[in-house]
Amino acid sequence: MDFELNEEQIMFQDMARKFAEREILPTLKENVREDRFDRDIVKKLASQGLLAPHLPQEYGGLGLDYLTSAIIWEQLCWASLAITQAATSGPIQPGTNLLDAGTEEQKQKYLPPVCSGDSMLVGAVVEPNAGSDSSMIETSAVRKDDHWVINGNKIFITNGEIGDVILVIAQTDKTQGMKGLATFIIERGMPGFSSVPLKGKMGWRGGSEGNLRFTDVEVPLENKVGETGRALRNALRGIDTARLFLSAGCIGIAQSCLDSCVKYAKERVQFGKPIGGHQLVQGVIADMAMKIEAARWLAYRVADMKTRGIRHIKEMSCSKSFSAEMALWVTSQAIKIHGAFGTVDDYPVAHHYQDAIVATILGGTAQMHQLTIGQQLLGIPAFS
Amino acid sequence: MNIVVCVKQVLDPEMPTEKFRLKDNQVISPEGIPLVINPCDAQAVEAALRVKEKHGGKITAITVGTDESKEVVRRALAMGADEGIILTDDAFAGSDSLATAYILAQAIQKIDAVDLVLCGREAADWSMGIVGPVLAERLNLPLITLAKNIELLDNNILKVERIIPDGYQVFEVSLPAVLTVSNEIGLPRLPTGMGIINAVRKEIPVWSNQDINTDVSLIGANAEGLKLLSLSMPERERKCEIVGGETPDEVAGNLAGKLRVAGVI
Ligand SMILES: Cc1cc2nc3c(=O)[nH]c(=O)nc-3n(C[C@H](O)[C@H](O)[C@H](O)COP(=O)(O)OP(=O)(O)OC[C@H]3O[C@@H](n4cnc5c(N)ncnc54)[C@H](O)[C@@H]3O)c2cc1C
Ligand SMILES: Cc1cc2nc3c(=O)[nH]c(=O)nc-3n(C[C@H](O)[C@H](O)[C@H](O)COP(=O)(O)OP(=O)(O)OC[C@H]3O[C@@H](n4cnc5c(N)ncnc54)[C@H](O)[C@@H]3O)c2cc1C
Repeated sequence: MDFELNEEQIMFQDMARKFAEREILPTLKENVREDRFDRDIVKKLASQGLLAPHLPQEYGGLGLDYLTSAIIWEQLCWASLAITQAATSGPIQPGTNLLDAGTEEQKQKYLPPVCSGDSMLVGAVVEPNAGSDSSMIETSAVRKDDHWVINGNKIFITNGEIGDVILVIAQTDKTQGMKGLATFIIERGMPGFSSVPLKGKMGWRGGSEGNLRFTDVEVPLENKVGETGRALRNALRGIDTARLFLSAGCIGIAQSCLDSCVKYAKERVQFGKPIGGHQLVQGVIADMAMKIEAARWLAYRVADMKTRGIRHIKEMSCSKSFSAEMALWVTSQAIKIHGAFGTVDDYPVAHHYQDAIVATILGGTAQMHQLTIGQQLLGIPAFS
Repeated sequence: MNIVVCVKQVLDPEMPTEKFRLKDNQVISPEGIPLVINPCDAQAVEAALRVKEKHGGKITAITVGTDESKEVVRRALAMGADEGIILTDDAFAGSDSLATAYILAQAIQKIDAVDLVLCGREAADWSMGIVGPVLAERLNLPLITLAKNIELLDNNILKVERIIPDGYQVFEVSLPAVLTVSNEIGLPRLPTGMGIINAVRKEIPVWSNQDINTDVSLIGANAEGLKLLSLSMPERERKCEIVGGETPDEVAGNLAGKLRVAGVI
């Protein structure tokens, strides 16, 4: 077992961190306060080669392994999880979905502009009545002569308000349940498609989400992706990649909080010594480090399994859920260590805390991952 | 344009002093903290890349060091340099600035038709700033130190803005020439993803003393041009004083007075 990062991984780690410091941090405070997503960051990530590290080079990615890609995400998220997720989500879940199930024409048409940052790709699954339970999807797709007609709503969709190309999962036949689900490509500008931004978020500020509405949107036949009945299966690898990156991102925000705590605890003097000299404070900082280490090595292990093509359903659920809950704990403790200063955005801790709570929900809630791990161990599905 | 950039591997200057130790007049670098490219040398690579972007050409990054120095050369390659050379030999170990410059000069003479040699203004570890000037002397080429901007004009003339305490001077020098690059040149670019991928897969030739034929009495620990007598940690004293006064105006006045006495303003 070799736990050393190789030279390439170290160089990507260093470069991604410096990119985050140069390009995300300087405008972070304003973007978070105003909950504004700055689309320029997508182009910058693309020209740096950080937008789609895991996608193959032939479609504009870098063709890197999942561990290196996760390390990049960890470092970008050290500055902001929400901004990193909004900027790079296109190539992750919907991009991988298209790669796995799209025709060569679809891949050639849509993936290169996504990897170059010219076009933003969106994956729309969740609806008002279908969250964790995708079998409840109500958005309908009806075949009419030479096209499909799509009707319905999608909510909480990353880049739903600004994305150019939307991969929509819709129901072609209600009586078929999961077997009726199919995926369609909808382009912004198609008549009947509209979107509104999601406002009033308590976290994930600086990211970008929106709600979508489809009213008799006519979609050409060639915009159907993969076979009917395989929509969720085709989306799985992308969802799995998103979970890995979220796990790595949670480690990034937790590390940022630890870095800030170590510095602050040495500077802030109360009761005659730096607060880091009080045992109770030191204990919390030590616990932070323990949990971060545990989460990091679990995530790296899962990334390596994914690269090697080893089955890792249980491990991925362990990693995503553990990292998110770890980050929630670490970020909240970090605010306490910074005292009142921790609640103000001069320090990174409050912003990370607000993102950590959201990270426990997207990419599968804690309960969904418990149920997945349970099913893997017991062989008994307990979802319904 | 055929540009050679001299790059040195140093302890991370961002690292706090309490992280490293001294032993027998030697700096013991902490384990697990990788050495980095000397910041000014990354800026010299940046300067070379700007010239190449406008006028084309080839950039070779060269270092005197050990096998570990591969990483600084890779860093330059990842930023966009075309070739790298590592100079390493037991005979080079312990070389001082003069000897290092001599080794570099011997190597550069083996590279075809070099138009421009760039060094950093100084290495962040010892801050000697000697290698560049001695290298120019050894190569018998014109030297301009502390460049903050360079621009290639017609007829192989390089226009160089050189930093001085209150501003800058403008020089024109005909190539080939040696320059030392100052940090005012601006932030070095980050390596791109493709740059890193290509850099780690590139073979970097290693040259030993056999390849460059130095006179061994002038290099390595034997040369002893410079003897280090003692090395100690800088001692810093910190004091906190609360400046008082009845009104904000008075506090500000008292503060200004103290700063003036301390020679800060
Ligand atoms: C910032 C952000 C970005 C997002 N981006 C996208 C996107 O790009 N595309 C997209 O399709 N979706 C997106 N989502 C939606 C996200 O995928 C869902 O929020 C998530 O899947 C959970 O669904 P839900 O919110 O409807 O919760 P629900 O499924 O309604 O769950 C509510 C609660 O009930 C619990 N629960 C549900 N079922 C069970 C059960 N069987 N047993 C025990 N507990 C249960 C859950 O764990 C949770 O605590 C995004 C969400 C956020 C916050
Ligand atoms: C007092 C003293 C103590 C020393 N102690 C040690 C020690 O403990 N351990 C040890 O390993 N070495 C030691 N050295 C050797 C030192 O590392 C060499 O002097 C060094 O290689 C020359 O660099 P400089 O610091 O003089 O560079 P400067 O003259 O400050 O460097 C200017 C520029 O020259 C170029 N350059 C410098 N060095 C190289 C290089 N090696 N390869 C390529 N380009 C280069 C770079 O472009 C750099 O920006 C010591 C030297 C001195 C003077």
